[in-house]
Amino acid sequence: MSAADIDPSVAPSVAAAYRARAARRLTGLAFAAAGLCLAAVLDMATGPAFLSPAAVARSALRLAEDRTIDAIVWSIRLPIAAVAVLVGASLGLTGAIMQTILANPLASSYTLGVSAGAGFGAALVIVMGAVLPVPELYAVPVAAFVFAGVACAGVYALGAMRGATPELLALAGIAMLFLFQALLSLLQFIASPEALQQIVFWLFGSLQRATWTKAAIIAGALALAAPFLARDCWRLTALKLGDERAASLGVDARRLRLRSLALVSVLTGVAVAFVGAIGFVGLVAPHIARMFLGEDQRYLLAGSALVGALTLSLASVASKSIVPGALFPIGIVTSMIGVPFFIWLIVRSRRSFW
Amino acid sequence: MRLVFDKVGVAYGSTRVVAGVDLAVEAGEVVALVGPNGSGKSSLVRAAAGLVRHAGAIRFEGGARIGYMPQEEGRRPALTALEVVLLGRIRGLGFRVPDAELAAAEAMMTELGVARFSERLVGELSGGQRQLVYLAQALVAEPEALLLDEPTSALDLRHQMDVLATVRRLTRARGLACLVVLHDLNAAARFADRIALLHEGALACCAPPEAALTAARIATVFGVEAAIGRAPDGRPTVTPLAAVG
Repeated sequence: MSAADIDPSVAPSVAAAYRARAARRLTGLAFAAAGLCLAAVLDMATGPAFLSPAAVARSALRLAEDRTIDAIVWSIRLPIAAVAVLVGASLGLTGAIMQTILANPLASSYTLGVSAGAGFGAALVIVMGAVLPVPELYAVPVAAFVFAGVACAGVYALGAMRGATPELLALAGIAMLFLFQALLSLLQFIASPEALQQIVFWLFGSLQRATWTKAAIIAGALALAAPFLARDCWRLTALKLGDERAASLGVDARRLRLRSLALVSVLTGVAVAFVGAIGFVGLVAPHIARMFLGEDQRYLLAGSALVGALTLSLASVASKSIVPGALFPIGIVTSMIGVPFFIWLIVRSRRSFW
Repeated sequence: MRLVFDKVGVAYGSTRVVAGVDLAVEAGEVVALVGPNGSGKSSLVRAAAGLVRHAGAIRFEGGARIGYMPQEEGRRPALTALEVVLLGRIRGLGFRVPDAELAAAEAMMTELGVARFSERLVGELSGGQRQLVYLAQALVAEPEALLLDEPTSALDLRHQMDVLATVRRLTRARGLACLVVLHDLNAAARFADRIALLHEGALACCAPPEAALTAARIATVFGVEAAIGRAPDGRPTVTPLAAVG
């Protein structure tokens, strides 16, 4: 039902055109969701033991029982596929939020030091290793999560010294990136050969450590963020008009930025803590979503999450297929896909979408 | 409603940019705020919009809703014209846009003649069309006072006329109190009921155009020697001749 059916004074043009665009965008989101399902099934089918995608889908949906297939799918492949989807969604979402609140197309938790903070936290625990009373298995993700928060707080504290404007926050992010990269290099310099190898492996990023518990925690973080974002999505859209216009519409840009950065810190912290530093998904996914959906944050945030999830699922498939029988680090794969795409994105300027 | 400035001052740190301004904008009246660069025009309007702290009092008598349109600063968001106008009703928007909000946005866009651009990106519109879209955003919230900061800068003559005539028409029709910052003295003379002249942060005068725009005052405030003429309707015209001194 369109507005014209209810209110005869509304000419069909504007309202009808708007509803038609909304329907097109929802269709776009539905296609992305369908693509994501296919990619996830493909992800589950790929691995040392060959399983047909149809058998995997049947097992995942509990439509057929086959003990061997069920065991592989439910205890190994499904958690990995779920974590790939959830982490991809988290990173895509955080990238979109950061690009919006910082009014900067280069913003993402990877480029502005939040992932670097997490990486430093993880490396710190690995280097200190035996000294800690807690097993590394738990200490590494906790430290990564905490230092993602520290980096985010650092970005905001530095930026807030001069009014928390988008330019200053972006510069503060770059400062955090270099700071934590330098600290990470320092740790690598003083680490024992074994610890160094462990750090490097952690930084590559890997989905192989995925478990149902981790998937549930990441899903929990996303579920926590969703109502906040749903409530703030129009305010975030207003921010695209600039702080002055947003303020005239009654949006408190400073508090919105603070709130959004807190969400970014939680989502990035959880995602990076469990799978390591996976780059580029957060930077690139929002740009793809923006091309198809525009800046209306209701669609952009949902679209960025879907594209991020789709990208990481496909990267997971690629990481298992590039060298048959071996696992290629997923952090490298996403960057290998991300870099050429990003260059193409910069060069292509037929129509400015940013 | 009535917009009243009572001994209003604005300072950025230790720099005072506006001091002791007394001014009242009546319902249905357009007051043009003019003055040289740095005379405090934008600061005064931003104070009224609640964006900068100020000394003294700014009262909105008999109303509360303000529509404020800042200066154009060249941002080109990938939002459609309709989305920009809808943001003027941000409080009523949920995850689904209610039909009533859509109808309000459509009605305002139709009134300002921009309904046919509703699905175009604002960044791809011409400057004049974009200003009208932002004006629709300010008006769709049904404000009782309208604060416009240089709505016609960077517009060609035709679009300047369009925007200012629309502002005056709606101000009259809705009984708004309208304060508009203008650079162009001739545009101010044509469309304003009164002209408020700011000089170094203080109000030099506030009077109908023919009383406000005298050669002597323009020489003092702008440092320009000007010839004052008369348009067919009796309003003054200003032809700048040379810088004084």
